Amino acid sequence: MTVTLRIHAIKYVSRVLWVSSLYSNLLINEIRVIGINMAEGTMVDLSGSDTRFLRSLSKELGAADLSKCFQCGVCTASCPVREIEERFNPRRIMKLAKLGLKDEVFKSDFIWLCSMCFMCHERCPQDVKPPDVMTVLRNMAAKEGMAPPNLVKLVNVLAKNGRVYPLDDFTAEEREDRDLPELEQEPGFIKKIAEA
Amino acid sequence: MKYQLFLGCTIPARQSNYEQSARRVSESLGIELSDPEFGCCGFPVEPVDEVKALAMAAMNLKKASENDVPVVTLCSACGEMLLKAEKLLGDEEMAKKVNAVLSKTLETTYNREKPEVLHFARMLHQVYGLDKIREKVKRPLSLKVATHPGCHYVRPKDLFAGFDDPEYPRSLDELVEATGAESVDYVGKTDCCGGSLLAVDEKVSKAMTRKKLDRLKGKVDALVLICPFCGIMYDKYQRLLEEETQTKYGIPVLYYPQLLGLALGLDPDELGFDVNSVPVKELLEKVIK
Repeated sequence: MTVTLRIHAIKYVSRVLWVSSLYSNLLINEIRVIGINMAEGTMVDLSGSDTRFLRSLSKELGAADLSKCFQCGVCTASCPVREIEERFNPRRIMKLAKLGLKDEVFKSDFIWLCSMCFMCHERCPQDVKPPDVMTVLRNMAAKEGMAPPNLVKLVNVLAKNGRVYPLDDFTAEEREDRDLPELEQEPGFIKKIAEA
Repeated sequence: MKYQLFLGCTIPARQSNYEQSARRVSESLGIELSDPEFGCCGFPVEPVDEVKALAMAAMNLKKASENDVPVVTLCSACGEMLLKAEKLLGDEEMAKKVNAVLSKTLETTYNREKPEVLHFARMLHQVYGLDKIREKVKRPLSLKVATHPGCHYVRPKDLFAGFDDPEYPRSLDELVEATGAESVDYVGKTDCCGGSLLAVDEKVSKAMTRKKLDRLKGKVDALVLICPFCGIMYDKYQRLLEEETQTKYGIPVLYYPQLLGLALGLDPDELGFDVNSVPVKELLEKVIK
């Protein structure tokens, strides 16, 4: 007898094979893993795994140690944003990225919610450096035009003024009153880099 | 002692109390600060374009190394960004990408210039020294203070050459104790202020700020910190949170140089207290009897 199986996680493959070995007339024709269980209990569709995304991820310095992630969850347990906002779950982001599920990673705003406090970075037993992975993912999303408008605006402000907060005449006067030295109003090299 | 002062964007325009107090304190301690033409450290650009961010940091490092004088930063994120750039630009691929931007825009390249970069508080603790600070104290403070060391002051730890502890930093507490004040221990001392999320999700950002304020309410005379974004969150946003939640926190937020300045006997008018959002009148009355 020939059967085709669709299962929900890679971990079941060995179990299926073990069961099949007990029945000599059972010939497994094909095993397709269609989804994967996430640590928090949800299931993610694996059909969206994007090999091009995985390839570009593997070339990025910040994601060099992503493959070492074994989903212990120390990052999520250490995360001050997670304490406030359930939507944010660094462990989930690491796994989705590792599986190449680009659309899943980019579709919501959660990669933008990392506050870069580096607590998970200090505690990660596998030295995955989740904040660095987050920067890589954010940069990739930004290239596809998916960065929050406020963050894009910051770059444009720097291109225009050379400073995040412009040193206008009023500020310059106030600085003089406080006996603070005059500063370059619009650093040209910053404008040029931001413009590029 | 000579240092090049790296101010960044936020301090000169929005937190001049930090700058003013740091300059007056430096004068009083005999630390000479110079002001080369630095620009944005690159940190705000990192989420959108890390290569551009590193190019900005690299240019600042190049400028800094024109003088054989170490750099001090008042902003923890600026300090972390500059040190991170020194490290990441050691990677050949990354240096190539950054140099492509620099040669295109400014006809220059980064050639591994690695000036010494220290946070102002780290400089006071590690180089100037606690003993010397204690000797200079003219007005020992009998205050109960909570410290907020912030994130980028000690994390990621591989950038700070063994200075302080990323989980249990003590240097800011010791600096506070050198003024005579008591630094109290409390839950969540190393928590992030939430400032970096302000442009992404203000609600989350404010909730992070509020958490610490809730814990400290009525327990301390002041919250002492060393980063302008932490300052904006805990000081300016404390007032906004008070309005929104109808809760009176009333926790004065001081930059460490403001606290130190008081202990050194400086006139409060020289320490920029008029910029502080949460009223400091009672605190100052307590200090200057």
